[in-house]
Amino acid sequence: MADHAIAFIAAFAAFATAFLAIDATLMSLQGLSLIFQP
Amino acid sequence: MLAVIRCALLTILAAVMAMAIALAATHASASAQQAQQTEDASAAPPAGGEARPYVPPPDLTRADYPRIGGLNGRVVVWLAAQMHLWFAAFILAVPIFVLIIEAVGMATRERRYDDLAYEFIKISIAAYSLTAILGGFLLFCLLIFYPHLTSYLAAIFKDAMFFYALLFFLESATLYVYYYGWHWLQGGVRKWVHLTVGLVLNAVGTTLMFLANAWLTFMMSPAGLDQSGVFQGDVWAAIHNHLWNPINLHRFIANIAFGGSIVGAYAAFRFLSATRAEERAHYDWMGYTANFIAISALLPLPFAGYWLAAEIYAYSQQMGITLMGGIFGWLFIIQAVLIGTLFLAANYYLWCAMGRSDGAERYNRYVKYLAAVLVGAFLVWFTPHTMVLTNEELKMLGGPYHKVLGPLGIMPAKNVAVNVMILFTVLSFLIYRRANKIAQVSWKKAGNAAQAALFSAGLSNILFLGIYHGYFTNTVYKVASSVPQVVTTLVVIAASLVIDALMYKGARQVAPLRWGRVPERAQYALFLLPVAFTWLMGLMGYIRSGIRQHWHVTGIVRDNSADAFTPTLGEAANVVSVGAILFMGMVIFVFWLGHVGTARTALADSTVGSAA
Amino acid sequence: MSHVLKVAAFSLGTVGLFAAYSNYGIPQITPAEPPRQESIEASGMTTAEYAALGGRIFSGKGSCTLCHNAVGGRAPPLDRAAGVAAERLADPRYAGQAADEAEYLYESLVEPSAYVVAGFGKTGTGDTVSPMPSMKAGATALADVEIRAVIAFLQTLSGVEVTVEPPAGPDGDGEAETAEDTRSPLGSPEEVIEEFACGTCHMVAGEEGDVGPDLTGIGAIRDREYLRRAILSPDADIAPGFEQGLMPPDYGQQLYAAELEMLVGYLADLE
Repeated sequence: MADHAIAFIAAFAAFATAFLAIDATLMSLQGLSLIFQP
Repeated sequence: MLAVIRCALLTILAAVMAMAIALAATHASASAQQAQQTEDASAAPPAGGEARPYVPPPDLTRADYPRIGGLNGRVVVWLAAQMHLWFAAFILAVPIFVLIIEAVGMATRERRYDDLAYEFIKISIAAYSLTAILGGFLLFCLLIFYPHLTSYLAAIFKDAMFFYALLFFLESATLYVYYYGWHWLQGGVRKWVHLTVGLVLNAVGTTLMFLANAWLTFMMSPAGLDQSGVFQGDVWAAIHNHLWNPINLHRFIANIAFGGSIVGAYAAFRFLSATRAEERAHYDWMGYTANFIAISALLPLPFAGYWLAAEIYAYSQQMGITLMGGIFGWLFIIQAVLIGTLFLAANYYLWCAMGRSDGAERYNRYVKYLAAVLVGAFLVWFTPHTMVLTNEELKMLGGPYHKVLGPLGIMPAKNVAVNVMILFTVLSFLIYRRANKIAQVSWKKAGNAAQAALFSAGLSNILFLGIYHGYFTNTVYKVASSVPQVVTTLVVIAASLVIDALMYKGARQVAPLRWGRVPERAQYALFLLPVAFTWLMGLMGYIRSGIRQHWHVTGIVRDNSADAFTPTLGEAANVVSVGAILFMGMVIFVFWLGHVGTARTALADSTVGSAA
Repeated sequence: MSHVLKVAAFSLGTVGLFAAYSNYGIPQITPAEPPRQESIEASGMTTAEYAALGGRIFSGKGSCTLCHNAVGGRAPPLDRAAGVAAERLADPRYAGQAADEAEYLYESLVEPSAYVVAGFGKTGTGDTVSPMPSMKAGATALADVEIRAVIAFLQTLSGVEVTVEPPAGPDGDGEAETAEDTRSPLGSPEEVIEEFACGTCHMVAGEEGDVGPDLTGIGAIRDREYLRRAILSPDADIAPGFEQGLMPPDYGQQLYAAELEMLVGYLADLE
């Protein structure tokens, strides 16, 4: 059970990072940063 | 040898048609360029008999709208157009998935796919002539009730319209060869010829739709005109107006979803009236396949719709705001109810269908959570923002928006909701597929962890984008963040399908799927889908046309008829409902014909017997 | 056979549900009638009347309030537009050709990208391209006379001097096609009060507005002359404790004569 949890957390971290990278790229392609800059 | 020659001839024919289309398009723009090089384009007609068309917009008065007896021309044209569109969508969709299923049959060498593809086209064959009849009826009604607008549009699009008319010869030829030649063109090269014919049929049908889309999008977002509204001669500019491609894409995808759901209803009905187990199994499988087609096309549809709305805003802010923030805003709440119905029905079918798998019990307990999330997302999806309130209600509420639920009414919340609904539908599908299998790969625990992480990370990202950018930044960021949201959903769908495919390679089946073992209520989900799709299409058709309000061609040709007013939502919904009922009646007639065409009475058999 | 009936009933029932929801579950808004094209004689108007015409165009045919409204976010607020015109002309980002403030206002209506207020430009253009369409083009197509009326209105709104002239005489460009929504006359004073939302500011007819004087029993303390003047020229007499410039000055153009008399009679009877 424990290694199941570790696998999940590791995969989650990997996917989350990947998604944030995609977010940042797509926002910058539209001339914006990921974090709001008023 | 003969077959190879036939094949080559058909390919050459297709190539020639393609070249003809390309030539027609470039010719139109080349002649327009020439025309534009000759002096400036103001309202003066060309002198000295030049070929440049001079098409000034007509200035219509109430007297320019003919009447027949007690008929309301506006409602007649509305219904004619909508009926034609419903049928046209259907007959464009069927060849698409028939071709794909035929190809799948060729690739897997499983006879059942070829038979299924043939059955789909057989039951819908009568729809083609009905589409043509309705198209002709529509054209007559336009000529009768809106003659000046129709001749104005015909003057602009004459080349394209003539080409459109000619294309029907090719459409009929390919359709009849494809259908009637199904069993003749079997085996080896002949089958490839048959597939090519199907491909050409699809290409022609798509071209026909693109051409027709040009006319109605021109009416919404005219192009190729000068400042005073005079056509400049470049028909390609008029075709390629602002909304042309968004409508092309949206309709192409929506047709597939719509067509799939209609044949699914056919299968559902045959399932219910089946007497033998093999019949039930066959129609259960047919219904499942049709539903699969419909849902696969439904998933990307919200994004195509979003693009269309975005382009409407880009063309005219006023039109965009009237569409979603003004008098048509409430229509989108009705739309939300319809779309929620579609997603819930599709998922409900999948959950019921899990009963086919002996191994499904282990997944049954998840269904209630899926249902809860979907219902929750649907409720968010359909929460309005700005409400129409009386003064007392305004005071009680303390403003035009509900304090707590109001924020759920704006676009970011809706984007989150729809992405969640799409992802959870995919999740239902994955669970359905797994229900019957036991993975044999060594890394299946890691694989499951990966899937869980993929979905969790994807949903977290969607929520982050929706909440942070939706509520803590400005409009520019809000709109821009919908792009990574969409991409997240698409990535999760693609990645999860890949992971599952790999995980279940060589998987052991718990037992073969028991086609036919599905409760009757699941079939009613298959009826709900096309009814909702049909009604939704009618509603959206009304919005698309109504957004022009009192203009035939926005800003160019004003509607000065007695019926120029925009009806209330209830009135519009009633017309759509009448049309939907008429359409469903006609579809039942089409299916009945497809079925009765193969039925024989005892007398017919005995006559044949005695003649033999 | 029963399957046919069941399926038919189910389908008709579903369609019925959708229709019922659209008719009874959703507020039935009657959209405005398409604007009727009429020629109006703008010549011979006073400045105040011309500005009032501009106000009607602002809220009506021009559809300015679609974006320029109190909710904000879509377009800059215009309540001080005429006042800041001078600053805008001096701004280095100004890309137009106007020579004075009235010309600036005219230009912002027909060439909105000449100056785009920071934060309101189209995405990705760095506030150099405005999402606002030209008021002369497309479905709005305001005539020059109408545009100048809107300028007069904006100048009045900002509290600066109105520098645009209404058209001179019948030979000037006095005719304009403008979209006046002609409505049918109202039949009772209560309808007039409801239609013109008097209760938003006044305590009258069961409403409890508190921006303007309480009209309960107004008939006991004011005569018909006063009441008529109060409606037509609100700033002529200001009740103690209240301010000038709050009540709209154009009810004289909006009310039909019969409605005005009905209203005055109703108020005079409130004792």
